[in-house]
Amino acid sequence: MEFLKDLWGFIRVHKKFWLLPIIIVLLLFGVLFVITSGSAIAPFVYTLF
Amino acid sequence: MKNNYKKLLVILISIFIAVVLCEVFLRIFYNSYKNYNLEMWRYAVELKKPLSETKLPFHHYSNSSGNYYGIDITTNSFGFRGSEISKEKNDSIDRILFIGDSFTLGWGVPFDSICSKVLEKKLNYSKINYEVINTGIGNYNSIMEVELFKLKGLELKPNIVILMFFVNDVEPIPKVSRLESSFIRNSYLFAFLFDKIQKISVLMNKHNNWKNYYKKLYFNENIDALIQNKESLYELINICKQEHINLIIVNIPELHELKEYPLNISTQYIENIATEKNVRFIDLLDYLQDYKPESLWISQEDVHANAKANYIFANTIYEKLLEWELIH
Repeated sequence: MEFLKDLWGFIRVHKKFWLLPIIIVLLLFGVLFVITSGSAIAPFVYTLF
Repeated sequence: MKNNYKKLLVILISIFIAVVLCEVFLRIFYNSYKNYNLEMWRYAVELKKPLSETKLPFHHYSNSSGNYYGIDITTNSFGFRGSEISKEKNDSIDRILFIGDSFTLGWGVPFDSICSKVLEKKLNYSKINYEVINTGIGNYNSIMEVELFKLKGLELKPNIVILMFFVNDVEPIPKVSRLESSFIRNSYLFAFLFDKIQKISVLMNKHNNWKNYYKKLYFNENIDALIQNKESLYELINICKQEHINLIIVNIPELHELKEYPLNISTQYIENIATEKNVRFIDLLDYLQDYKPESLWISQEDVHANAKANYIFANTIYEKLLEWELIH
């Protein structure tokens, strides 16, 4: 959390707002990567591919 | 105003860079997070050739190979899994043709252990009398299986055709859209997101599970696909009768719960068709019920039939062929 505060401070002070979308997308990606990883959930024999 | 456009452009470029970074990361580290969904996606991208036929939207590429879920899948010039076969039939050898989906293909099972190969080895134990051809393709439904049989199977002049029916064979024909042929087919990020979203939706909604999904296929909401499925199966039966081909319909049970099988509606559906049209029928559930379901799966996350289950399939079919005097 402290890291995120520091990061926000850096972006605000140096006006590097273009970094925000990159950070948000990477954060979401990281959360998705962790969620459900290692769990054995495969409800159907594939329905899309 | 001009400044706003500039900001928007910067945001879009920033998002694009982030997406590219994710894609690169996923490609580099694929081996460390790959799973069932992702390997199925890779199989579809690398081995399935899109076609323009409405009832047959894709087929395997000929003479191709890949390693999926740790197993090599190699196709011959017909696009079938297996070694090369001749179009011309040797009169002294009987041909048995398997038609079906990924279970028949032998997804996740070494070639020497798939049902069709095990059966062929058993049949040819003392003398080579039989050639067993496996036309199974992942994600095929009955309609597509019958279309492929008409297109490529019939010309091989089989003596026996074995239709391996699985509970999801009544699904509608999958649509291969333009989007799928470009973005979906090439993006690891898409496959990753699809996998995650599917898993999260399962965790969030207890009704979104395999039992409900498969049961729904046999009710009114899927009525159009059911009608088409039945018509295709009737067509296959009629073709086999006209061509004097012995047809056998084999029901492969869903392998999650075998003791109190929850998908009898599917078994009844296919058994009724077989009975009505006087076609020989085998329900493999009868031969699997005493096994622990997990012992028959490819892995904890993939309930496709493993080598042990394939051996049981082959053994059961072999015994039935003997009982019905279809082999000598």
